[in-house]
Amino acid sequence: MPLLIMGFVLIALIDFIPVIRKKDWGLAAVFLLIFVSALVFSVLEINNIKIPSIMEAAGNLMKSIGLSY
Amino acid sequence: MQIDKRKIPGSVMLFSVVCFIQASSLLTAFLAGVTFQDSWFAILIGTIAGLPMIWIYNMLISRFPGKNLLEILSEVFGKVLGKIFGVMYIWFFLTLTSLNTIDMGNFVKLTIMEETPRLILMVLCIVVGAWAIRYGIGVVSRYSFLFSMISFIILVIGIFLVWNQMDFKNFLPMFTLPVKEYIQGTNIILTIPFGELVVFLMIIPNVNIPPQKISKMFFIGYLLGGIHILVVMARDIAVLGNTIAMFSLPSLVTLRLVHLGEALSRMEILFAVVLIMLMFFKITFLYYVTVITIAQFFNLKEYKPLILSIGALILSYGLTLYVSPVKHTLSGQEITPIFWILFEFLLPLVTLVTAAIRKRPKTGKV
Repeated sequence: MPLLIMGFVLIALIDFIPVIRKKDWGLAAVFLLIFVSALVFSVLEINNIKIPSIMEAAGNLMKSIGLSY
Repeated sequence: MQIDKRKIPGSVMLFSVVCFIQASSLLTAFLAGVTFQDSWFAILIGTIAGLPMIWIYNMLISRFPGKNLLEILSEVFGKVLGKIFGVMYIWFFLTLTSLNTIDMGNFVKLTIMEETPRLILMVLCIVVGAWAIRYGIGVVSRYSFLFSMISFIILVIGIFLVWNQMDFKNFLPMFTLPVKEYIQGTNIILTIPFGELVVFLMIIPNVNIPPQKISKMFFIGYLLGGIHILVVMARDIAVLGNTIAMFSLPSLVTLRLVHLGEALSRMEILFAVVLIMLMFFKITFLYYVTVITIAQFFNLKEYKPLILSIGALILSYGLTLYVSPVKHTLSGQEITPIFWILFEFLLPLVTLVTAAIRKRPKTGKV
C-alpha cells in the first residue's frame, strides 16, 4: 500500500502540478478522471476486493445470446 | 486536430505493421489449441481472409487523407454518434494494451524471471513505454525495422537449428477436423493479430507519404507479418506435431529442442529475448495510441500530462480482466475473436459504407 500511494503521489507531482500551474482546467479534469479511476482500481485490487471483469461479463453476455464457439 | 504533429517515414510505418504482427507470435497458442497440426492452414486462410479487412482500412485511409480514426468517425457519423463510437474505441485500445501487458508479464515470469512478481515486470514495461511516448510517434516506432529484422534472422537461424528435429509427417493427418474448428481458427488469427492493425488508423496522419503509398506500405507490412506467423507455425508443427496444443508457448518448446553437440543448446532464450523486444514494441505502440485517442477525444492541446496516469490505469484495469492465464486463453479462443470483429471489421465497414452513402468527406476524393 505505501508503495502504491508513493507511485500515485509521484504521478501527481510529475504531471498534475504543471497542469495546475498552466491553468488548463480541461486537461486537469481529464487527468483527474483517469487518475482517480486508476487509483480506485489499484486500491481495490491491492485489498483483494474482487472487481467484476468487463471481459468476463461481455463473454457471459455473448454466450447467453449464442455468440460463442 | 492532430495532437502529435511529428512525422514518420513510410518505411517506419511498414516495419511497425510487421513488428506489430510478429509480436503476436506468442498468441499462436490460442490457435494451436483449436486447429492442432492444421494451424498453418488456418493462418493461411486467415491471411487471405484478412485482405478485405485491410482493403477497408486502406479505403478509409485514401478516402479521408490526413485524418485519423476518431476524426473519420466524427465526420461520417456526426458529433454524438461519432463520440459514442470514439468511447468504444478508447475502451478497445485500453483493453488491448492491458491484455498485451499482462501477456508480457506472464511470459517473462514463466520463461526468464520466475521469482520476480509479475506486477513489477509490467510496471517496468509501462514506465519505459511512457518515457518513449513522451517523445512522440518517432521514438515509439523508430526501432521497428531493427526489431523486425532481428526477429526474421532469429526465425531463419531457428529453422536451421531445428532442421534435424523436423518431421514433415507431423503435418498429417491433414484436414480431418470439423469445419467449425477451421472457422474458429481462422477467426482467431484474423482478429487477434491481423484485425488489431485497426490501431494504425490512429497514426495515419503522422505518416509523411501520400495516402496511396500508405495503403501500399500497410499491405506489404501485413503480408510480411502474415508470412512470419505462418512460417513460425509451420516450423513449430514440423517439430512438435499435434502435441503443439499441449504447450502454452510452442515456439519456446521448439527452440528448447535445439541440441547441436554440447556447445549449442538453450536456444529458447534467444526467442524469449526477441519476443520480449517485440512485445515491448507492441505495448508501447498500443499505449501511445490509447493516450492520443483519449487526448483527442477530449479535444486537449497536449497529451503528455496524461501518459503516466493512463499507464497506471492500463496496469490496474488489466489486473481485473482475467483471474488466470487459463481463463484468458479460453476467452482468446472462444469469445474475444467474435467480440473483436465489432471493432476491427464491422465498425470500419459500416463507417466506409456510411461515408459512401452520405458522400463524406464533402470536399475529398470519392
